[in-house]
Amino acid sequence: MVFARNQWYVAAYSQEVGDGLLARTVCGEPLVLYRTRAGEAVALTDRCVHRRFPLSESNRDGDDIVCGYHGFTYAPDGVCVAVPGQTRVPRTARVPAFQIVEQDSLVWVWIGEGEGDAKAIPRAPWLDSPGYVTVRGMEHLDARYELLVDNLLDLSHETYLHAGYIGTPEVAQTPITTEVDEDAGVIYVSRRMKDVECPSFYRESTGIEGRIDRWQDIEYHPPCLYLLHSRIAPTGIEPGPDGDDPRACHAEIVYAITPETETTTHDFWMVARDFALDDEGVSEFLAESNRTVVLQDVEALNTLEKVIATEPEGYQELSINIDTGGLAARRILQRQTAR
Amino acid sequence: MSPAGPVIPARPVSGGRLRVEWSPGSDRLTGICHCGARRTAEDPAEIWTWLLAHPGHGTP
Ligand code: FES
Ligand SMILES: [Fe+2]
Repeated sequence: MVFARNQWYVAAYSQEVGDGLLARTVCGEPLVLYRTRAGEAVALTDRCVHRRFPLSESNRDGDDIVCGYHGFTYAPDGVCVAVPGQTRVPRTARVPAFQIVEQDSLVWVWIGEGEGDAKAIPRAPWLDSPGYVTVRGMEHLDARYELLVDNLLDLSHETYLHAGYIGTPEVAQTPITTEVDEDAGVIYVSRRMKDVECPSFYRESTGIEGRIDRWQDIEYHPPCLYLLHSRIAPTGIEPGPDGDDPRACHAEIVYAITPETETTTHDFWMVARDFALDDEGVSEFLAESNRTVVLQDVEALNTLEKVIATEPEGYQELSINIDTGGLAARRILQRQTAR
Repeated sequence: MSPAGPVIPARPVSGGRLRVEWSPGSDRLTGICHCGARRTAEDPAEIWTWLLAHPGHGTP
């Protein structure tokens, strides 16, 4: 497999990028990330041009990085500004610097050709909006990112893999609408459950008693950004005609799916909510519960990757109706990879 | 519970979207093209192939 390189990827959370030198590989590209004194996030290739020493294991001198092996010194634009023991710096001494856009508390990187179009980056405004509180984490997946895409586009697996957490029998029994916007390259999968049991994940966090209406509206912007608009309301409560919805609780579940290598993935997960904003206990509960659920997926997907590694060529999967959204995603990913 | 932040966008009426409807329990998927053409099938790969053939599948 080759990566869809000419796409934007989340390399890190903004809060991870600071004075330190952060190593992170995106689509096989080893990067070092840090923040200049002016607050600008920087991403350089994490390999010294001299003898490949990782810059992430080196030291900062102001805004420059001084290689920890023999002292080649790099400015934030990747240009080598000093080498040890001589005044002439070789003309070709530079490491690639990658375009960064920081928005919605995410650090997006462009590793593709030329300059990326910042306007093409999908938005997740809840993540740094004052009307929401976000909990987040990141897991390392020993599995190819396509397995995570499959997993997230078919939430019927909640009933089986996450029973007792976010899964209830109704998730796998409710009608699903799948839509693809070919031009925008966005996939929508929508499941609107009426008068159903409230899973503990939402019962304990929202405080809503009794039966609920539960909406799961997925919006996947391949390859990297996955949004799950989750709406929980006492059953029968509908949003107003102008979209205002004060009696419902909204959780914006966001994933950034960033390939690390061909068979490993950075699984960034976030839960932004518009309820119980001041309740630390709810934050802790959601962070803990969501991490548990994510780790259930991680374990399953790591297992699948091992299965794939040992299977003979040409294994044929079987797709059924629950895979409608996943198949649409695969097709768009293939198109992006071919570009 | 009243969002002071960005409001969740209402899902726009499908402009240029291809749509597949499915009710668990039923074996049939219904594909609806943005041109209005419809078709049912039993297999998601088949329904996507048909939808993507637009305008080859004809208008209703
Ligand atoms: S490897 Fe970096 S200076 Fe030698
Ligand atoms: Fe899951």
